[in-house]
Amino acid sequence: MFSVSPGFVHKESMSRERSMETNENQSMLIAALLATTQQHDELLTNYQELALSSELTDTAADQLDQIYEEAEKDPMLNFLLTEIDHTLNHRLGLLTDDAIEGYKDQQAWLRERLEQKPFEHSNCEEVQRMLAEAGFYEGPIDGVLGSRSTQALRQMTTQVQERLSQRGFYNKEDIDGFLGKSSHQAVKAFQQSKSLEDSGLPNRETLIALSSE
Amino acid sequence: MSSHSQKLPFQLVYNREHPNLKSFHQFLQDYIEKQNLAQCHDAYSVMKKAYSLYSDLNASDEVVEIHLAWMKTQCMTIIKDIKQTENRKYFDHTVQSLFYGNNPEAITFCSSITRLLRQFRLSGTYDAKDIISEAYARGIDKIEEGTTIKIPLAWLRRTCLNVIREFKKKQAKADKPKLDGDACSLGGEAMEQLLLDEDMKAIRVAFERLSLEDQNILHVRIFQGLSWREVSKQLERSDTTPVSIGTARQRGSRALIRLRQHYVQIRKDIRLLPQGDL
Repeated sequence: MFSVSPGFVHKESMSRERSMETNENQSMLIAALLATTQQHDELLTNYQELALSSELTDTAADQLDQIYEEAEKDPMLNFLLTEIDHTLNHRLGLLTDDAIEGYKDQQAWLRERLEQKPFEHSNCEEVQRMLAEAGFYEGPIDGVLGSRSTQALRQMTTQVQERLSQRGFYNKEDIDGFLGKSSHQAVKAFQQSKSLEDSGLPNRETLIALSSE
Repeated sequence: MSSHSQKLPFQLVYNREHPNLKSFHQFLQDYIEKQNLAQCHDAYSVMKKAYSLYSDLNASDEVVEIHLAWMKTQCMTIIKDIKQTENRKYFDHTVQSLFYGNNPEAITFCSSITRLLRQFRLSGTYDAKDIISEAYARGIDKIEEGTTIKIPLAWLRRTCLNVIREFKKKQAKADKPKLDGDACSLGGEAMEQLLLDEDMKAIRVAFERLSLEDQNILHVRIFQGLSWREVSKQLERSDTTPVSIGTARQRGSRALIRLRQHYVQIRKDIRLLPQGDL
């Protein structure tokens, strides 16, 4: 539908040079912004109209789908759509303080369900007790992994990842506080090396073993 | 990077397919770079991993004969696995960053999904969170099938639209199709035709008003489409001090918030200026 975006040409040459030349970046960024805006002028106008429709017909939804597809290929276009969304949603009253509070509640819901997946099948009270014993958590042991527990979990995970990486079980560059698959495997490998129960979860014995030596 | 570039625990020998070792090494290195994995991996680390998978290996063997063809297949498989893991990690991190209120992109994303739900008259039945969690699950399936998701948020937005459309169809099939929730209602101002042009101009001017540091971080993040991990590495290079992923993400968020603040200010100013002054 569109010819090669000038933005992409810049992007390629940029990543080759990998330079952080600030002035160069500045002018390129503005130039790319301008180029993307001009190139997708029609698309952006169309997007605004679609976004402002009170209801979407099948044809309109197809058009929207095409625009989103285009944005999957072009980071700059994706960025522009997000910024257009931001301003339009303001005008549509979707970003009032009340609305934002509502989104924050939904985020908390998503965090509880989708983050820290390996803990999904373990007992939440046990996790809290473990966090409290390790000194990361001071809240109630109520079996609810709320924001306080999750934050404590991330702190503890960061520490566990650091110690694992010092021992060569975990890649230093991957320390991020998320107990994902690779951390899970690293904990497991460490537990096996110490003949501990290899649950892959950093329980009390594992933490003690990690802080010894 | 230097940690990888040690000596190999084995010696590769000359064969017809790759007249010299350097060419094989170079071929691998080029391939790794092409796959955008050069930040954390290199030809040596991949070859070493392949070597460790060699089944006929005995600790006592000093000389092992490994065919280059075998080596090549192994290396390719390893790179494919790395690519998939990296892809998943990048996707997870980007999507999970939507779960935090201090991320300015997250609130926008949530509000846009809410807007779509209203436009499909589903806002009484579903919340943005229901749609996002369904789309996230589909993303994980996609990656496990081997698909690369280049811009996770762009992918997620489109998938959310598809999820909403499917839910809508399901509802229409039910015995009593109902219209629920409010449709989107607009203020007159939002309909102005010239609005988009001015918005676009304001975004550009807002960019110019940002500090160079802020511009830089938005540049590498948006323009080059780098993950926060890669951004932190870029920052490390210019700061010459370690920058954690969390710090990079935080700096990026603040830069975007500042961009939007400038932008709002510019939009306010525009109203005071005669047309065509920007």
